[in-house]
Amino acid sequence: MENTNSLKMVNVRDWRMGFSNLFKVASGSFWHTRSWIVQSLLWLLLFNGTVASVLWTTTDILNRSAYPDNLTSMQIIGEDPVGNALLIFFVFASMGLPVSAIIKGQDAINSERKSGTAAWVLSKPVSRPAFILSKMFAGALSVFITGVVIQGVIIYTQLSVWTGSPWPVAGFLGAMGLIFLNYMYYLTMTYMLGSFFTSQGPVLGISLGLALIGPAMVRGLPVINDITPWSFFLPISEDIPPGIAMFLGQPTSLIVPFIGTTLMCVIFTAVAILRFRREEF
Amino acid sequence: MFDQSVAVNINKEETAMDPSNSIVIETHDLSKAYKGTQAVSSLNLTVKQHSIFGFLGPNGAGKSTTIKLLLGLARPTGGSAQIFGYDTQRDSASIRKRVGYLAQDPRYYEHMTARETLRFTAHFFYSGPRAGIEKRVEETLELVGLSDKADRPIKGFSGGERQRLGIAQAQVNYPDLIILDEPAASLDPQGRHDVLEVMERLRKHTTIFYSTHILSDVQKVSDTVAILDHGKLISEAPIEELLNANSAPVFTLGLRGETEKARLHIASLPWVSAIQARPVNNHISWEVTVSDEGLAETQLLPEVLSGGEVIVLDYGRRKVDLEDIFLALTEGDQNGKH
Repeated sequence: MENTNSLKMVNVRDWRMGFSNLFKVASGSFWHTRSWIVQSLLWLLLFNGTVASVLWTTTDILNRSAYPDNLTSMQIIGEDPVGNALLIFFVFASMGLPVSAIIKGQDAINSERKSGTAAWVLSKPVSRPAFILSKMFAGALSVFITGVVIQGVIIYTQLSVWTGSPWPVAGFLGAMGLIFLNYMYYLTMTYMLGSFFTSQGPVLGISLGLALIGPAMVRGLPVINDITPWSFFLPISEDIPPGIAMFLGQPTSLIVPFIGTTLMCVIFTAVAILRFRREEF
Repeated sequence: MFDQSVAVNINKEETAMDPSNSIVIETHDLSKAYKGTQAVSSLNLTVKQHSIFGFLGPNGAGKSTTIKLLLGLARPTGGSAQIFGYDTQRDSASIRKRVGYLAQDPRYYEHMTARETLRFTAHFFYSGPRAGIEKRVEETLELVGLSDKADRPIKGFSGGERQRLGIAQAQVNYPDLIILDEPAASLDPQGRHDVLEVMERLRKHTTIFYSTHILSDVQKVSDTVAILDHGKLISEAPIEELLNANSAPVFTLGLRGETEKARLHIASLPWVSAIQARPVNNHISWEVTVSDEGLAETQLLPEVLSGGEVIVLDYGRRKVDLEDIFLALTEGDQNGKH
């Protein structure tokens, strides 16, 4: 029998202990199965399908090269078929991805807590932050690739081909980044809630409730605008939402809600980790 | 069936204990309460290196809670515990690098195969090389007799196969300490025999701390036992010491005739400690506990027959086993309480 003294010991001692192994397995269950194809097709249909159905079927637009510069107000966007299609895309992207984050995230901790696999894994040299972060990052990466990168490339190509010139790339990338940040907000919040509640009801109820009534809260309490992604894309005033303005290549200011939302993602994650550190099995 | 030919290979450089420190587990007044219920109460245990330490107790005695406290899966409400000299709360990670654990009801990722599960477990301890890890996984599969099922998803595994996989994953890293929570509980007699045999073989290389309520298993393989009841340690001793300390000789007789008169006579003898008489079918059965084994061996039977009024149907001597001691200690504890 070969002497297994040649095996190299893992030498990580901090929060990263067990992270790469857990991340590999969590990612593998997505990328090594048909899940990624199903999810990519779903987002393709929902996001690019909506835009394509307008771009390639509307025949009465004569000056395609005027886009996106001609979309200068919410009123124009609302009346323009292409503007409308883009609006629907952003509504789907800013609602569809969060709903998937909530559905997938709400059970990520609880299912393992209930089945006993969490206790098994945590009896190995695994840090509790690694347990949470590996799942969170694997989930985020899966959506980043299938829901943001793949869809982004296709929609960018569609728009550029349709207008006959490259769509403003910087604003486009910024807007896609905001779509992902919006997703992360709900993902991290769901993990935080999942670390507190042992049943799915409160996690789903609070997350979905906030996703659905969030924009209305921004109207009522403008200060929330600064620490949530709710104002990125949803038209809650007469102005073009800053995320859509960015997408159209128009000047806009998003620095405060961007920093505030990012900070909230970090806080949600930190709270989830702190709470999970105190979990007993 | 477990493969007997597979030797256990130890990564001595990484896992060897400090030879000067032969204590593996030590607890000091370790306690755990859940919302007013005392699950573990002031537990003081000492487990020595290379021992097979049987941790006994009825259901709900606090065995699994103690194990979870040792592994850092639960926090004590009082006292402390050390494994390899590390505090179980502050240095849990250092401990878990050197421990293998099998839970009472082991659960794994159901979509994985046995091989994938062992590979996944091994990667918490080893970073490479890949071939070395695969070899280690293969050896472990052979050790527990799962080579032919290595590539089937776990969700189709029987209870016994899951338990074997549990033992495999618990020792895939050549741990200095293996903690097994009821390792043989869900196994058939052959499976139990195999598990005990593996434990016996692993003793040379590691220390085994295992909880169980199957007392015959404990008597077969353990060298030290601790008995826990209602969260309290009732007894902890090397198994021989425990058996000897509680092994007042007991003689059994089956009798017919005027047994009551004979019973009074025997009870009056100075070397007889107690007689328990009970009817069994058509005769009376006695259990005679004596204080002088030599005298009893030569005189008990003649004394019984001396009155000429009883017929001895059978005569023998009963050895005290762990079950007697366990029942005496746990029932005694309960009687004391209620």
